[in-house]
Amino acid sequence: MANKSTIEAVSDLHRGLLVETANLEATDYWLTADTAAIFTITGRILLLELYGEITEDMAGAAQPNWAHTATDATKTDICAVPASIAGLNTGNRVVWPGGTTAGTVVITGVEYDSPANAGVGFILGGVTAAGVNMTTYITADGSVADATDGNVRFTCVYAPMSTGAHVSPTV
Amino acid sequence: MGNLTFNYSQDTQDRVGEVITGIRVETPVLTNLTTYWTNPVTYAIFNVVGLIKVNAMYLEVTGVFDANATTLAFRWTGTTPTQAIATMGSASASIASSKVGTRVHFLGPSQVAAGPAAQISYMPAPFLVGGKTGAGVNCIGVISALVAGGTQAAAASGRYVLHYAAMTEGAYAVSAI
Repeated sequence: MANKSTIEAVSDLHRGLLVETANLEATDYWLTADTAAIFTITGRILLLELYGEITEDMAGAAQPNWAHTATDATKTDICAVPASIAGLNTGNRVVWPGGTTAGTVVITGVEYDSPANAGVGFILGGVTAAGVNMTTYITADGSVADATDGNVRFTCVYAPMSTGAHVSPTV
Repeated sequence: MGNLTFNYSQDTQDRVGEVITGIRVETPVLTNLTTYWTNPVTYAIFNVVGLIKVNAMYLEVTGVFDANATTLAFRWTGTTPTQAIATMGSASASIASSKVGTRVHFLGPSQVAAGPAAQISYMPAPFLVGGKTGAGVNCIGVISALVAGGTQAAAASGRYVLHYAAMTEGAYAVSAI
């Protein structure tokens, strides 16, 4: 059997590099106002997976999605909102659908069993004319209502597409 | 604060990126309006030897485009064996007023499309370019850009980027500029 580091390395090559936020209070990040940056993007990356894993049962009628914040602070939703996640139990995942920005966030799984991204990846960020990697962000959003309880950990899987590109958790 | 699950050096992260998205080649940033952003103008952007699988090919805007209705199409010209210049797909819609970070993708035989917003675009389906002769010799050809529709008169600039994998022995692509 391959040792753990080999499994991790092969997995990184298969599905991309993986970064996680801390375990977060949903009441701080799934809000009506999508101001909460969760990942910082340096350079140009291929976004392959993005999901929030519920670590404490949810309350409040948030309909979560994510936005990308460009260098001029313009926010663009990278998916469409699902139904309310009020009452979503620990172990469920809220999954970015890929494909196009019109794709609806997937919440159809059950505890610890969810679909992965089924759409094509997005290329996010960029490189300036001077060859400097841009700094942009992925932000979390509750859309129409605030979460009133619950915890969530966000995970981002990506591949660098410019020299020095990477993603790091903002929180 | 969360964590990088596995702490690789940046060089290793770059290599992982190339394993997943392909080998990256880029032109320089093209700023000369007469040479690159005039209606119409065609110029070589990548030289291709052999058969390559293109995972993504796009123009990344680095200097904002003005309101003139510039369009972009990609073309293929066979050098060895000789093949007349051929359009690889229909031209894009106007990319007037594109912001810095807008990407205009080649999406395969049918179209060229800009991303939905600056610094966001969709990874296209891969496609194959070039080939190998009956004698087993790698073909040689050129991918070129056809800029038409409107002449940029202000500060437009951009770089072309290609992410690819070799499909025949000795195949590769390089910037033609």
